[in-house]
Amino acid sequence: MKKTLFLALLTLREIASQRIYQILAAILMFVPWLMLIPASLFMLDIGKVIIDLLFLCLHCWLLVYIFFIATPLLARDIEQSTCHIFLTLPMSRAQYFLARFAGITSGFLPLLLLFLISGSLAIAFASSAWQGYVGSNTDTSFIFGTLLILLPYIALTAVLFLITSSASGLPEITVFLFSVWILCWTIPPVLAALQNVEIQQSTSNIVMVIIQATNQLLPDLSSSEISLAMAHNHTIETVQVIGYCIHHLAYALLAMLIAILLFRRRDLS
Amino acid sequence: MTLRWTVIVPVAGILLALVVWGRSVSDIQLYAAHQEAPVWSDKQQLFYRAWAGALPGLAADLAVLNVFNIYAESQKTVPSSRNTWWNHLHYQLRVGQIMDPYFRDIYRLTEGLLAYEANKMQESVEILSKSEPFLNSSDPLLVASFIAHQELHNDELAFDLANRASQKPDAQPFTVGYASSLLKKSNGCRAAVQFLAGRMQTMPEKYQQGIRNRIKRLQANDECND
Repeated sequence: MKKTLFLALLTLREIASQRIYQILAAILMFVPWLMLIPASLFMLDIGKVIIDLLFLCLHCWLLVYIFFIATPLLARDIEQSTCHIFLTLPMSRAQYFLARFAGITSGFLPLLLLFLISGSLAIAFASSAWQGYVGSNTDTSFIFGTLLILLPYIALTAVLFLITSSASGLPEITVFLFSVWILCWTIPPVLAALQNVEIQQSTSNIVMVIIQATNQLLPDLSSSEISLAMAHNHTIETVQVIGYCIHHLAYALLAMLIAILLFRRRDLS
Repeated sequence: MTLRWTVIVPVAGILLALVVWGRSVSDIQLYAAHQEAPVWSDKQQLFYRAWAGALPGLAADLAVLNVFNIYAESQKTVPSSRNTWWNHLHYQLRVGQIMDPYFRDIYRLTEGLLAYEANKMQESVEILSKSEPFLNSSDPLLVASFIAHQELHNDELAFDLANRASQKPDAQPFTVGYASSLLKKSNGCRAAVQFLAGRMQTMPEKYQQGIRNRIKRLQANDECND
């Protein structure tokens, strides 16, 4: 346990010392304020537009973190055999993977905190500047929505470990992770649209089966319904929220479990 | 090879001038007037949903920004050649409505621009009436009813829409009164002017011209002056 905690903290320090991480943190302090400029162009639902734009920022920085900070960190361990330093402590491969996962996911937290503070202040300013056009619950919806949207990215981080467990290096990990992300981004909303009877009638059964089968294998990254509900200050039922959280956390743990099993059998020589 | 400032500065100046010139001649417009707007089909929403992914609300926001662009571009052409722009406008409003049916700006622009600027009354009624399951407001249905009565002369549809509007939680006595007046088919012209004047107050100044023109046309009607 001590070793796992040590490596998790070391991972966090490694991440925090990177220039891109520091730049990202600095950007997150003022970008939510910039979002007020395009939001001011709208007429009635300005609060909704602000949340849409803040969620766009959220997706962007989460992707930057995973693709440009977490992925190279793990890929370096494999490509430059840095992982051997930890594995000869001695530390088991399972402990090594779990510690890296804990370190990388905890790296989200400082950025998340900055984003939430800056976003909330920007919303508070917008509420006073455009009274009546920004709902009183916009702040709460933003914070709640942000926390919910983070969960699929924790699942994506676990998928990163799953890919890394058998990938040869950075290009391979990036290509596969990007493909998974694209599929996760596009398929769930398409499936939701396919529930429409008129569209179902004009779509062939084979296409429907392929899309649904692919969707079962991937985490539901879209969170599109949550984005819409939060932007319009709609309430989501507690059961739905619990189901959503369990779905993503269970998916992350399952992916990590498979990743550890694959990594234990991997030839690292 | 050593780089000297006497070489770097003129070369950088020439390159900068080329960048400025290139930008000034490549007047890229978002929409080309000659380009026909694609015809909307329900299957197209699959494409929009796929690219919007987790952010359908943002896709609706972009559609609204496109509507602003289209309107601005249309104002640069003569009124007789604006039909292509109006097709684009209708398309973007459909995209916005499909991607975020709760977004009130879509219905406001449908009323203000698609109906009274583009004169696409049937299409406006179609979009406005789709608000029913998503909004608690009676406004879009009431406007759809008004357009159906006043412009499409379809009182059956107008009454149906007004009746649905009057069942909304925020329905004002005016809505109920309007629905009943439709039944009686009385107070048509004056009520229309009153209604439009009320709607115009809720639109931003620069988008009021279409409604203002419509009021003028109605006021020129003998029935309104009786």
